Amino acid sequence: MSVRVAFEVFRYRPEESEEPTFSTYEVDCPDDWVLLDALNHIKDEIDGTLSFRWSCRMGVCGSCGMNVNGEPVLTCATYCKDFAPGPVRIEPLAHFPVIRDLVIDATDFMEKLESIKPWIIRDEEKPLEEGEYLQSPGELLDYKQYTLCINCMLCYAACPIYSRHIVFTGPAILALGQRYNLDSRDEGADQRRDVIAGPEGVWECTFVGDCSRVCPKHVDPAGAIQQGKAQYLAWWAKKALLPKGSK
Amino acid sequence: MTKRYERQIPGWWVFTKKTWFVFFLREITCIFVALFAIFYLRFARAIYAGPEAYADYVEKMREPWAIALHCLFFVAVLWHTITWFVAAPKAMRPRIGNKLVPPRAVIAGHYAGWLVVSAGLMWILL
Repeated sequence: MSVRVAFEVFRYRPEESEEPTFSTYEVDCPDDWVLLDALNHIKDEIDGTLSFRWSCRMGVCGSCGMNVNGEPVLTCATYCKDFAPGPVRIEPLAHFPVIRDLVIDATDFMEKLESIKPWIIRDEEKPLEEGEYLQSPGELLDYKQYTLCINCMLCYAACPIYSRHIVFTGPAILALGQRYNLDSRDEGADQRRDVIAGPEGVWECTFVGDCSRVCPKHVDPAGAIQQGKAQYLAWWAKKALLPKGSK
Repeated sequence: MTKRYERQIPGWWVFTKKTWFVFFLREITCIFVALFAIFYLRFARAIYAGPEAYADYVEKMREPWAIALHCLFFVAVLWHTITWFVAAPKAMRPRIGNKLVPPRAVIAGHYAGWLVVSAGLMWILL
């Protein structure tokens, strides 16, 4: 079984026009095709000039995120038949600058990713002969959810705050910071404070919650950000209220 | 460097998507919470000022505009409370031993707290 679906695809070719346009393609999509299959069919059989990113085809690499009818989704995990007969509008991930067609510029995200120091930080490393850092299953539960992020950036495309204020560190990166701050083996919360609790960090978030709604891995970045607010507010209150020496 | 096509949502973005509008309603209703608090403080001041001031205030609050306004306050405060209680499990992920407390239990805890505080206030006032 297959269904005919009309795709309206965002096209931006800076060498031809300063403004984007939409190209429409009609494709017979077998029931088991996802949107990425249809895009590959368009590129291979109809219009070889179409540009887009993809890699794993199984919801792991996070490369094929696009806005479909205004909603950020992984195109490798969204079936064509759900949109038949269309038209279904495919656009590059919202809020990011577009380089070409469906390809966005992720430089801002990559720079922010590094700024959060996404690794375990210790005040002092213990010698190897003392063995690994042990952790209870409960302590693992505190942050496990946040390890599932695949950096697909759908949460950024869903976040109106990021669109209006691009300096906002954003959902995935702040959730990643919390992933390490909540890890019982980590001692780097102070080093991440400037990014997480700074003017472009968690306080920019107004808790719209769409980042969590669109997350294909159920990471819940909105939750991580609210917990970050509580954590750093407690730190600030302790610093402001307790006498020196007892902090 | 290659040219980039920049996009930004409009200033009235809260009206452009259903989920954003629901967020807007949750936030905007805080104004009604504040307004109701002002009315409530004025009510307390009238009690403190004596029986005449209290009777005047009660009379004023019986006028149609005051009743309509308080109906609006009730709906807005109820919406504000419910939507925040729904959001609470995101900010609070309590763990007991090796198990996380389920989100429904966190929400139920908030409702229980609300009932206890309301019952306490009723006991004091009535």
